[in-house]
Amino acid sequence: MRRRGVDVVAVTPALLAAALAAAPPEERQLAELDRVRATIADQIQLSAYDLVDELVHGWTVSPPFPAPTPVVLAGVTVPVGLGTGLQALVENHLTAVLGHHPTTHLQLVHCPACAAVVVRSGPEATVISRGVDDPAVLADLGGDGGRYALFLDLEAEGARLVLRARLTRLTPELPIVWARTLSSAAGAPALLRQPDDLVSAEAARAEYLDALRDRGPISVPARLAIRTYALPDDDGVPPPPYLWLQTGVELATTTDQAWTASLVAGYSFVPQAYQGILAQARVHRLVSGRSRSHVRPDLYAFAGAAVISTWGPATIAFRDRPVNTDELLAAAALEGPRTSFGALHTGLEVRLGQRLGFSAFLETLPSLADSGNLGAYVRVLGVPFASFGSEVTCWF
Amino acid sequence: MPRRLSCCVRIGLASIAAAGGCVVHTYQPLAGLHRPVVVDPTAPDNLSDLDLTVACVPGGKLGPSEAGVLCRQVGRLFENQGARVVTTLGGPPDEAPAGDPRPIALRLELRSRQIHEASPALGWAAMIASFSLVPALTEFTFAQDVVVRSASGALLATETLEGRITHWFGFGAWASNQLLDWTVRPEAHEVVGGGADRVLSQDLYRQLSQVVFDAKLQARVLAAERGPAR
Amino acid sequence: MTLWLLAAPLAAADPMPGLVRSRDALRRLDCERLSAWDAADRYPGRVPRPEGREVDPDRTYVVCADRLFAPGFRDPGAEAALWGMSDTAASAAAAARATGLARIWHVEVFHASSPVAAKLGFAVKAALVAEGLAVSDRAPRLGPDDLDVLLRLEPLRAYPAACARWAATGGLSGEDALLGVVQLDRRATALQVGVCADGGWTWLR
Repeated sequence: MRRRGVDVVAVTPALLAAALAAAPPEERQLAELDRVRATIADQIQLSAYDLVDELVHGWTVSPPFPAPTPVVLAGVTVPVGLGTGLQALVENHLTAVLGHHPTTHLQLVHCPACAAVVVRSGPEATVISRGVDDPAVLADLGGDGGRYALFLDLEAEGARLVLRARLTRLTPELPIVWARTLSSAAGAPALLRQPDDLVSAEAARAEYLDALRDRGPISVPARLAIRTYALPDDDGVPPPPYLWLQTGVELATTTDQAWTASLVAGYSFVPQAYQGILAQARVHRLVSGRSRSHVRPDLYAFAGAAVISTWGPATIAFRDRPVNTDELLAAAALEGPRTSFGALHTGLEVRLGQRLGFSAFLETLPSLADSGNLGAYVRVLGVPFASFGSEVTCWF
Repeated sequence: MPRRLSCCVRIGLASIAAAGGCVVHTYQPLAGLHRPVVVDPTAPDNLSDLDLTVACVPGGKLGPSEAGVLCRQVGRLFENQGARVVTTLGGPPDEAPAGDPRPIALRLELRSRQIHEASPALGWAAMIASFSLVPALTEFTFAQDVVVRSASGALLATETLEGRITHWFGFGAWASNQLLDWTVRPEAHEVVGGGADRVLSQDLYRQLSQVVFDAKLQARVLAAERGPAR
Repeated sequence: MTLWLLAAPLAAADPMPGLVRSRDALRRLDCERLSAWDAADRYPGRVPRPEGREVDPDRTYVVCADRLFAPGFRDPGAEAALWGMSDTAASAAAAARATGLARIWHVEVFHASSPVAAKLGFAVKAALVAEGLAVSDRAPRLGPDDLDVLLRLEPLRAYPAACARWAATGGLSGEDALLGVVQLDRRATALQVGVCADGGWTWLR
């Protein structure tokens, strides 16, 4: 049964491909055209919603009528080249947003005769039109579908999406009582306002910028780091892995947080083995874009320097000559020397929402480069990177 | 060691010298040059009722000889569309078109100017340091001002066509693009060679054709308005 | 120095055709060169504001936006009309206002594509309202005999004749004016504008 299922899965795409290949070229072109139309409609849907939100927000601030007024949604037209799918989405969104904002004083009502094609014959002429274009017909039909009609038009003008709206009174002269034009650039991010609590575009943009700036340029990292040291090539005893708890301050030097700098202090303690303190400075550069993202992880490259001071029985390996087993055992009974050294490191960090980060780095210890107790994970231009570190960081 | 260094130096100098001949030109339309066009520049009857004076005004980066070349090419463009064309470098034409005057007479003025130029020194340093693997570049943005007037001097159309040209110097950019041209890109999309010039010419000629055609209709409307009776 | 220079080695920011970008992709972009301040105003968070520093007058940004429709997706005549529809509507409305006629304005658009004509009509009406003019959705009608004659005339003669018939049949009264936006030739992208008032037609542009 499983094999049969695999066969079906494997055959079906092939059959489908064969069927498509056998289809007449016109059908393939139509299918491709439909696919492209759907893609374009998806791309502009959010921008269209933004414009509708802006339109309705304008009505909440300045209602076109002094009191709640029945209005017929007489027509929504979408960009030339697209179909009725986007039209339906826009209609539904408009209906939903208007329903949440009765302060607009627009009450959408249903009027089947308004959208229908009607024929009116008289002694002078026979007129074929839609109901909204011939209010006399509406009056004859006896319907009280609404005294006003709302028309919306969406169109793509180059890289801009433009929304036009007008309100027409359904009397024989069909006067336009209100009209407005709104546009948005294709590259502008969608404001994604809440449909049940619309704010102005300026307020939404301010919220967006606040989100970009987040908590401000200064944040406090709390980091758990581990440093391991490469096995030496010759006889020697490498230092044990060090587990560090670090905290300090990180400063974003630019609004888009493409460059940040941090200064942290750390402490490491393993009973009967070692203690250590470190001070570390680091510079980060965003490499996954020009500004940090709110929807995707950000990748930073960093370089920094650290000063580490450590003491304890297990720190004897931090010296410039190999340690043998006897010396190691002898040191275990003593406090052990206090050793201080500098280190340079570089690495990569993935940050999620500027709240959580994972990093890995390679570190070189210049003063211990000739130590027989340290090997090298990698050598770059003759410089041994003897330490590999990984970190988990939270920012507050 | 000295022998190896001198070999590297020789290769580097040769690469840098070769970079002068390894240039990739690219073109990007900015304002106006990629506007939709309907008129077909190859149709012979677009402008069959038109006497057209093409004036290419030298100035800025457009010297008199370049202006003359531009005028000849643009004049040929409109002659192929049925217009009767005379050219001039700014002043009145030396001679009127032969034959009876056609219903509509227009004057097309073309001026070129450069609105931005950049040639970062950092790029050139990187090219030299990398033995022309990293390209250096020079880019400039130009504007072509187009004005169409009626025979009486009335302004019928004005347009500014902007484009951006980039020259990439270096063996790396040239070789990689040439390889893609040979292997992947269709001929119409080739980057190395005269592709950029060809596309720029196509865009410019199409826009000029549309501007003049629209201006011709505008002239007809003005003539009809000056005629009798409302 | 332009914005893209920072990412030039990555070949990611500059839209020029090259290793990672085809010429077709470039034709889908609308690009313009902006000053640092204009770019920062339009694209906050993406372009840093040059605050607190002396503004370099030579610093510019080439800012590109994707066209909503790829070139060739729509009919060229429709695309050309829709591309500059806002400008066309605004200039037509400005021309109507400049006539000084205090009338109820009607709008009639003649274009080879009827969907485009409908959208142009919508745009012109909205622009007229924005100019503070009184606008009506009513379309003045002509009888079939009139239409039969008028459709045989070239537009330059047809509209003046239609204007006279509207006045004669009562389609337009002394309180009405009609703004006509006309595509004189299928190959034209610029539209002509005229006004019909008191039975007389005047071409505005």
